[in-house]
Amino acid sequence: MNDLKQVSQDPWLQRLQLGENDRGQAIEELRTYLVRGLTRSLRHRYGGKVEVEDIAQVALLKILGSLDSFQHRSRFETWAMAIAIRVGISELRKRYYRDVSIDFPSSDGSLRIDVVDTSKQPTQDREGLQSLLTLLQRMIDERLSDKQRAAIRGSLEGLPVEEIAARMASNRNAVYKLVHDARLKLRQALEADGFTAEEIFELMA
Amino acid sequence: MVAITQVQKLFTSIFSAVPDALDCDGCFELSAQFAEVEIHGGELSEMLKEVQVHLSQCPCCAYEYEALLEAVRAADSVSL
Repeated sequence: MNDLKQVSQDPWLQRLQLGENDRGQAIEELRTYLVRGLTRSLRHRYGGKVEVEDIAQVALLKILGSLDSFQHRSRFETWAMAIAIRVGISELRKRYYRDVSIDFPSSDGSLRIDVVDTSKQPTQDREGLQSLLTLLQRMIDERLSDKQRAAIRGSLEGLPVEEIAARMASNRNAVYKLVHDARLKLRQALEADGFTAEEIFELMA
Repeated sequence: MVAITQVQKLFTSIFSAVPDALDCDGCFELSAQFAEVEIHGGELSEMLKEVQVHLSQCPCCAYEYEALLEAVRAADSVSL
């Protein structure tokens, strides 16, 4: 943790808290800093179809509106970049998943573990794998709530929690908790039945 | 129907699940501090170890954190 006396003199914060007429230069320098980082980091993510200048502008408004919440735990510019990256990735995800057709949430809200093709597994392993999947399905049906099943299904489809939340009209924290609690429950149930991770991955290899 | 690789990923996430003290917003609030420890070196406080636990279980936050590291490194390399 930085020395409090030192961080209380954070030059960025001091300059950004000046009056409207005096902080223009600091805002421009921060914008340039953000654009440089965003340009490098966002261009190869989710197709990179986003205007970095626009993201920086939205982020700047957020940053300037949250100066009071800066807690001096890091450099000011790293804190600001974290906000800008979240704005940028969130926008990229929105655009990317708008064009991706995934049946989620499904109409019946079910989560079926019906594997497409197990024919590549040796016969003996195939039977073991089928028993394991049947057991997992039972655990999912008996131990998870409807919302947990829906969230796990979104996760199984490869959707980020942010997108699952948007499609379930929920929020990211709540969906993360649904998914995480569901995983913990399933882990406990499998371990209580005597399964280990090694054993399961061997069956699926 | 699901592919075998999806089921493998599900089992991986199930067996790597451990109690997590943070949600995504809690992780985000500490991500800048965590990034600086990773970039400049140093020891993780107990609080920052919780960030590590969350990132290992939340691909969404881990992805954003990786993007933050790349952005800060790029922006700083020109600033210096």
